[in-house]
Amino acid sequence: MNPSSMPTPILNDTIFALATAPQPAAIAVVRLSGDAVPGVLQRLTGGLPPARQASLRRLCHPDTGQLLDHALVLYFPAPHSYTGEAVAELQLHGGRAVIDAVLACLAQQPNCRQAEPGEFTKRAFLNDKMDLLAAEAIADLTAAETEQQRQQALATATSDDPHAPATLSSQIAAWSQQLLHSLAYVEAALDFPDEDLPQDLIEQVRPDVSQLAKDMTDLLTQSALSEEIREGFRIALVGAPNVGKSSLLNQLAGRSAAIVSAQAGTTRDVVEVRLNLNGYLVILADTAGVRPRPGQLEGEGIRRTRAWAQTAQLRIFVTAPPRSSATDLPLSRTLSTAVSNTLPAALQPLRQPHDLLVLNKADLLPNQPYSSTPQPEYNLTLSAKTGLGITDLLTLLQQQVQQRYHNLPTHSLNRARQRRLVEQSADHLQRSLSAPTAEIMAEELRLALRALGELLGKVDVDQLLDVIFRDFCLGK
Amino acid sequence: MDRVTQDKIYDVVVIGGGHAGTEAAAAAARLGASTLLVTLQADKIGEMSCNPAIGGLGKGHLVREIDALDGIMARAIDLGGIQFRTLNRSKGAAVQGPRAQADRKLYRQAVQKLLQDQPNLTILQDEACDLLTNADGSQLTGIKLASGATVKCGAAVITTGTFLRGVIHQGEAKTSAGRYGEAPAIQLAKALDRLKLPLGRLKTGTPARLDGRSIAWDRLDSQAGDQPPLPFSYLSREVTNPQIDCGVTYTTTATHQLIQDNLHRAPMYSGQISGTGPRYCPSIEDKVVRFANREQHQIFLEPEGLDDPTVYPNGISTSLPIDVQDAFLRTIPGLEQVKVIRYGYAIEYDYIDPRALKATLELKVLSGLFLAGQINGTTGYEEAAAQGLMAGVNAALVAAGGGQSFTLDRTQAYIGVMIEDLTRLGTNEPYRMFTSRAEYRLSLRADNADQRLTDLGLAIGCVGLERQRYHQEKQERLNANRILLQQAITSPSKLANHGVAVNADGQNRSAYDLLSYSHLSRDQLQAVWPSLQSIDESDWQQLAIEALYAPYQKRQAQEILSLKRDEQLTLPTDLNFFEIGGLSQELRQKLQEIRPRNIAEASQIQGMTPAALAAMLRYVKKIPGQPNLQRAG
Repeated sequence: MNPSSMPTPILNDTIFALATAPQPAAIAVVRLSGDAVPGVLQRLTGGLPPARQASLRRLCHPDTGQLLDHALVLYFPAPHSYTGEAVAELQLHGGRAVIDAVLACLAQQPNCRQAEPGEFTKRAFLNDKMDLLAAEAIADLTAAETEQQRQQALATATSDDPHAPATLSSQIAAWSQQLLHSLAYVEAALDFPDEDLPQDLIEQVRPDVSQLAKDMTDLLTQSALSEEIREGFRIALVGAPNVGKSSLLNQLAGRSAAIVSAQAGTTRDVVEVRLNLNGYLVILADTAGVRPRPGQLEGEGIRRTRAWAQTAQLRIFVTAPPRSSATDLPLSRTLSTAVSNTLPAALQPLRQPHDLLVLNKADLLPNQPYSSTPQPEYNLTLSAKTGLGITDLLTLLQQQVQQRYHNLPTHSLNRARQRRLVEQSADHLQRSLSAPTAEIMAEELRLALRALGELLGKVDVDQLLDVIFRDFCLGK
Repeated sequence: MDRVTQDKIYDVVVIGGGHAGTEAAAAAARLGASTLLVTLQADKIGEMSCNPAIGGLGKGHLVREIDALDGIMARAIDLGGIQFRTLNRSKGAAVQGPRAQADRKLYRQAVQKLLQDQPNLTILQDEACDLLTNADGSQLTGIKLASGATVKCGAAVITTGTFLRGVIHQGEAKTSAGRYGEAPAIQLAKALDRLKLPLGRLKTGTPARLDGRSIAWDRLDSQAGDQPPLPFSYLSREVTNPQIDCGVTYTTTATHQLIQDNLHRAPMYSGQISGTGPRYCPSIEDKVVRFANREQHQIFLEPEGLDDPTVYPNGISTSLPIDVQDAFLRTIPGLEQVKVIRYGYAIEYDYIDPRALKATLELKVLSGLFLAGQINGTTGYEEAAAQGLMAGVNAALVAAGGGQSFTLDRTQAYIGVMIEDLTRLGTNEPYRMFTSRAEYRLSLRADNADQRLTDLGLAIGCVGLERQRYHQEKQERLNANRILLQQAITSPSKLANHGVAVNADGQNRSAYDLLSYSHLSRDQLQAVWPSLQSIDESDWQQLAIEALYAPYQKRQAQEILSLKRDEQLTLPTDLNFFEIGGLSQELRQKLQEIRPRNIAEASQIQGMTPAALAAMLRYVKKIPGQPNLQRAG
């Protein structure tokens, strides 16, 4: 890193930031940290509230005397605080205007400035308040990272309760120990060839290394899922124009979010609706209809459709009976024609085994007793217009979401950097297993250990030797 | 041997004729310094006072490095060795270590001969009893000898091993001594005391020496050396001594029982010894206690010479009383009738905390005085010799007064790993080299020590003409052959035509790339490129090793680069570490003592955490006028 390009926050500044999400909510929390905190509290609230007790205070602008809000104020004197500095939390009413007024007022206080992303954590780290794993992000902290990410890292990386489930930090520490142990065995075989050691030391560690690599890969997969949960389970509605995707979206969303029109090709872009499905965030997208030969106008929209649909966790392929022939043909013929006519070939490559194929506009079909699964090609027959089958569709979606997330760990890798290091470590472990010689195996294990070490702190040779000398009788 | 009279002046005086002292004296003399080696018994120069062997893993690497800098140890063992084995032959070159058993007499004679042939070097049998300094005691000016003479010198190297307050333990018996039968250097110890250097106490042990004529060899397994023996020195063409086998036997449950029953008489367990022993070289009492579930421990019976009946039983060092030693030895297969020539003992001794030394091994508090070898807390002939060489070179440089110094770091050599570990971290057990101490092990190999170091040695002047010629020739040949291999390039399909199977990825490969493919033989490559036949077999092997590690070496080179960037982040010399917030008191204490010069050095300190490093960075950043200090990378 080029030193001169890196902003160097002056650490005796007092920093503040909105600690809660910026959307309107009942409560917003503004956090402050630094030497100026007691002074700021005195000026804004007319006195220093008792330490670590919630106190209701009138928050007034010190210059104008204008009332900003009635706030619950918490004061944590240094060093017994999150950052190790004097910290205050102002719990405000969550309106945007209130928040803006308070932040503006704080910015005018001497030595106070808006915190940079992650700066509270950085201070906690610098004051030795924070677990190494969270602290590891220090090098990343000047890069843009959201307050939300910071909070996640904190939640997973530190725990004061020794009986709490394994935190990420304790998990990585345990892996480091295991790996150190495996490496020590290989090193013992390398450094003490003339000693009376077990012959198969290197073979002994292989299963452990292989298991460790698998555990890491599992954590990576699970972390990707956690990330998905935060960002939302994405469902794309795809199909030919006018099969009723937008109507289906509206049915599902229970409100009018997309423009619905009877003319083909109205939805030219991706329209997203956020749903709460059994506590999971689901993002449902209505996409541009794909015609067998798209018009020029639709080109861009269809590209976006494809991109969105490709990266979604689930696609619902929507078809409908052809308008003209729907009433004339026997049901079975109708359906197969419907598939071939209204599911454009261009969409076929997007299809994955767990995707859903539904037949919309069941209301247009000849009078048949309704059955939600009339034909094996379809997961469902429904009508977005009448609401027929919508409950069944919701149940199907819930099942899919549950299935995907049912086995989540208590912790996950929230930062790209954490993922990268665990990926690196797993990669070196895999390579160690196929290394051509024992010392190259050791080198890969060392690099795997170092990647974990970067998450936690360094692992030194002394630790390695400690294991060797504890476990083996050496010395001729 | 010369007589030294009053006021004789030497550039460098070396005190002690062990492995550190001989290398120090020879190195200083190679640099052209007029050098005096003072030793208590000139006929004991080059003595192997413990086990009769040189080399091994890590240690063998050190010997090759000593040789690359034109030291004497490798040449001496090639002349004195009676069994040569390359350890880890089945593993890769980076972890192969040459080892040899020595005929102690032949080895000693070889060392003495090499020293006699060394120009600029005088050997004196006397005792150094005091240090002379300038008026304020900051600069060494000479050495006072027991015979009364005074030697003025520009620099001196003390290599007195375990002579500092040595105490020998043999059961309940305690004697004040240095090596067996030699007087401890009490007067010199007093002189060092005046410097108020930080001291520690260590112990080490040795087994009984056995009379080989009383051992039932025919009932024992034996271990042979490599055939042909591979010499240590890059300059040695071959080994000419006859080669011998070692015997292999084991302790028995009866041995263990006897030792258990007499533990109360072992100085280590009775509380008589307080020093810390090496974990990798425990006494048999230690082994029996710590690994109580083992039914046997291996013993190598190593003959100490071709015409010497003495046998060194490697693996059963002990300080138990003589009667217990006699009894337990006889419970060992093959030793039922054994006669003991000399009983085992433990020796406790003071060492000087090597953090009192600069990276050149010169004392921080007394310019011109260097320490090398066991006195610095190391163990082993090789560790001692390597320090001796570095101290000797630097003593000569100090005496020459040009302000030059010669150091190696851990990215360059095992010597660098050792000296950095010692002078930065110190040690609390006798420090021995292991390959696992070297982060850059794949680059720091026994096979390429000359390529890594000889040019550096030439630049500083510690490499003689013979080696210079040999080295430059070898380098030119290797370079030419490397280019030959790198320029022989072809496609997978053409390789397939010659029956050489590689991934059909359309990627052209050079013969150099293919060298690292373990399944391809030299013959197969020569079938593709007949021109490669001109390459000498030893060069071929050398380049094949290089090619195998090339990808790793590249990555390590990057690591080394970023390490060097860290090195450059200097800490102010007047930094008061006690003022830094967020550090534990213990760490502050350590920092204040060690006074790291930069972040890299600070990060090497035992117990240093990233949080503490960041706290230091934060503090340093607050100091006005200090450049914008950031952690690199």
